[in-house]
Amino acid sequence: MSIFSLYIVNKSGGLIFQKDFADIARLNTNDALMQASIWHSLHAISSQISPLNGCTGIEMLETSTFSLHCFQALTGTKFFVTCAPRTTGVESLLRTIYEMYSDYVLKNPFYEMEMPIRCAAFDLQLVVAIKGMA
Amino acid sequence: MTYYAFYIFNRQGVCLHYQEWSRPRTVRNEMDDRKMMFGLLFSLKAFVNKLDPTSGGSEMSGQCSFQSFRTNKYKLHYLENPSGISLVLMTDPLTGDLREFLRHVYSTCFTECVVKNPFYQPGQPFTSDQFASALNKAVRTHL
Repeated sequence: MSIFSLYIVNKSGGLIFQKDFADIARLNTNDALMQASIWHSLHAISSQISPLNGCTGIEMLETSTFSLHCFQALTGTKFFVTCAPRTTGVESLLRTIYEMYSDYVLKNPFYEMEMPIRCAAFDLQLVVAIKGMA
Repeated sequence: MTYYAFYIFNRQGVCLHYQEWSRPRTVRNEMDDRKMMFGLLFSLKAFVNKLDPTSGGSEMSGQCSFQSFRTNKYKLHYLENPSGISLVLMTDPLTGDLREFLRHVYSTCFTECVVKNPFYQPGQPFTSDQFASALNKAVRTHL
């Protein structure tokens, strides 16, 4: 499986969901929270240093060992996945995850906005979607 | 392929050189822009090391090196050398991998025109016509 993990960050920069899909070194909870908030700030700064107007932030980041793809919804919620370099189809996977978020999380009447996501149905559908990609 | 801007930073965050070809969005304060760029890159390096799946989150082994990032409007290419000199290039988003180009710029333009210049003081910003024209030539031949 080339998708390593998924992080969902709310519009204030707080981590609301994190899941690992591969057997990789796991960040502990505190570190994950910190890294998600750092990402939120880096995403904002990248649109400030843009040489052109209308930049919406980092969509893809490449490193020597992994790639990071990020999708920012119009509400400011960010979905980012870490995956193996040169993985294809991650953009459409992010759109699918966004659809599942709006179906299984936002339409859940007990879910409070911007709070950590605890929806079993969302987790199940995520695993199906990620497995479908592999 | 459109090239927007080019920066060279040293390890301490001093911007040694800045060259721009096209920057439609006006920069309010140049010093702030350089500092923001260095700060962004510094934080990105640390972020990437923490998130690296091949090393544990707790070990800061520094194995993973950040290479580039793409936004909807521009793509930023980054190359850091063991000497601490980092080269940053901003281009349009559809550009491919420019690491080889950056290595070429470092070895031909920077090393030849700047490092080998006996009047160059390491750690100080420099203005070198030779470097600027060598860089422009490299950009034109690469396009």
